[in-house]
Amino acid sequence: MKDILLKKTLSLAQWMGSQIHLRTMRDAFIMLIPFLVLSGMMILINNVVINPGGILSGIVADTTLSSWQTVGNKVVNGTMNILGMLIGLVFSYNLARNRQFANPLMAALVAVSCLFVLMPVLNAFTPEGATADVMIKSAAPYALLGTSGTFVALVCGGLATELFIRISKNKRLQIRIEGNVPPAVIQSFNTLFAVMITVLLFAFVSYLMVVVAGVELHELINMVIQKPLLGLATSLPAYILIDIINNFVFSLGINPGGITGAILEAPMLVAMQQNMDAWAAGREIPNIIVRPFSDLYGRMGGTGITLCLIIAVFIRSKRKELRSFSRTVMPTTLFNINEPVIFGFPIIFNPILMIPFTFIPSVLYVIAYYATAWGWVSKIVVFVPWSVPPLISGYLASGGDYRNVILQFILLMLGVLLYMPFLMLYEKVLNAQDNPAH
Amino acid sequence: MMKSILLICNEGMSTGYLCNKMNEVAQTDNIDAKAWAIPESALEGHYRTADVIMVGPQISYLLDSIRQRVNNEIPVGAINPVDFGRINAKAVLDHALSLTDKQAAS
Repeated sequence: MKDILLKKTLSLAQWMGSQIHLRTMRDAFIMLIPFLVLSGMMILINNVVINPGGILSGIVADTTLSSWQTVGNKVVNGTMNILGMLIGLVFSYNLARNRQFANPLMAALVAVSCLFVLMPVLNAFTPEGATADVMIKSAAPYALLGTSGTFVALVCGGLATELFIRISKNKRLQIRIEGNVPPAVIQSFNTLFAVMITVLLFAFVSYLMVVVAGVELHELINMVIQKPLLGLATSLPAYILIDIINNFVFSLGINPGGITGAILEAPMLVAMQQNMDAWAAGREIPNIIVRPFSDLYGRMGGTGITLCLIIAVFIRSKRKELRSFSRTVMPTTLFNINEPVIFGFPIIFNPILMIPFTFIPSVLYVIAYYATAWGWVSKIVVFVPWSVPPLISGYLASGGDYRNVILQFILLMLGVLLYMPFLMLYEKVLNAQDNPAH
Repeated sequence: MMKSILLICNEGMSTGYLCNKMNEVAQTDNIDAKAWAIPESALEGHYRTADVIMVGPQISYLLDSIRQRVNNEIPVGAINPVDFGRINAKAVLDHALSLTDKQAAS
């Protein structure tokens, strides 16, 4: 039974791990983390430090403060507000590279081009001070390039790149130039037809969508893919179920990043962007569960909140090798890197420790979820990468709310308590193995 | 000749730590080798400068597909989970070097 389960999980992991689009999507998101962190920092500074009426308001005039905010606003425009477009670009670039296509930059350019081709010609804008929208031609709104453009960018980037690569490989569509011509020229002529056909196709399809079906492709993709996926990923029961699967898979020695990560990454990031957007604009924060939620409350020290296990060892363990091992892995654990713990403790295939590793985070998530829902702590509004140490991560992610740090601390202690009986039991087994005579 | 050892795992973080330890060991033991770590997804861009690729146990299920992705040009080995967990840099280094020797002999 155990073998069958392991085999099935392995083959699923294998399939998803080598599934080129999922692999590429992870790549793309990792590349964009610096931009998300930067925009998060700028929003934090704008809302906490130089907010008119905030900390500095007695010292510096409010009008000066709001003029300083312009720097942050400009950075947000160049990072988070065009994140959808950036995702389309890096997704396409990485996809072309992973397909070993010779000219990945050209593929990325085609993807960006197609993304703009799909944009509605008329867009609604609200003039400063007005209450009603005005329809404006020849302008692309940040709204479509940023948050809600993420899934459109992924779908469009994927389709455009696959199409472009396939057409480029068609020998009959390549222009042969004779004579002594620089390679760059040859390359751009080689892809001339492929670029033209791909972009034109996107334009026709997007036109037909509006004329025949009466719906913009953006709306369609957001309605059919983004909204349901977002709703699923940010609902507590689904989130916990996925987390339990995630941790269980890891306790079998398989890093689940390529499986559950591939499914959750995109909707979680969109949810995060919605929160950042709302915070920057002073609106109510929409989502409780966003990308850093798990890192903050159920993955301190890494998946399975193993920091609690390490602390439990320091408090109660009488076994020398466990104590010395825990000291060795402490530096990585503080930055939430715990693969050494998972493989070295070991937790994998350890029937006693697999249980708390799989289930403790869920208990903590439920507490963190309701603590947030009841307003005891702040919602997560600043993107912090998963490797930011616990407690600091809570402070930053909440936009500087110490109550979130207290919650993290309480969850850590609770985690230690929950790990303790399992650790004691595990030690008993180890002791019995050492003294088989008893 | 300097041996170049490429470590890969999910995000290149945990192997990154191991990798630093391996470089320390190489330096103190005077072994002419250098290790560096990358996320598995970045393999295509990096593998050509490596003499051997060592795969972290958390993605050892991808071993075959990684061999294919590097067109079997370089030896690909799996890092022993226990050595990995206990951050036994010396053992991983020796294993990696033994794989490059095998390649040279054949």
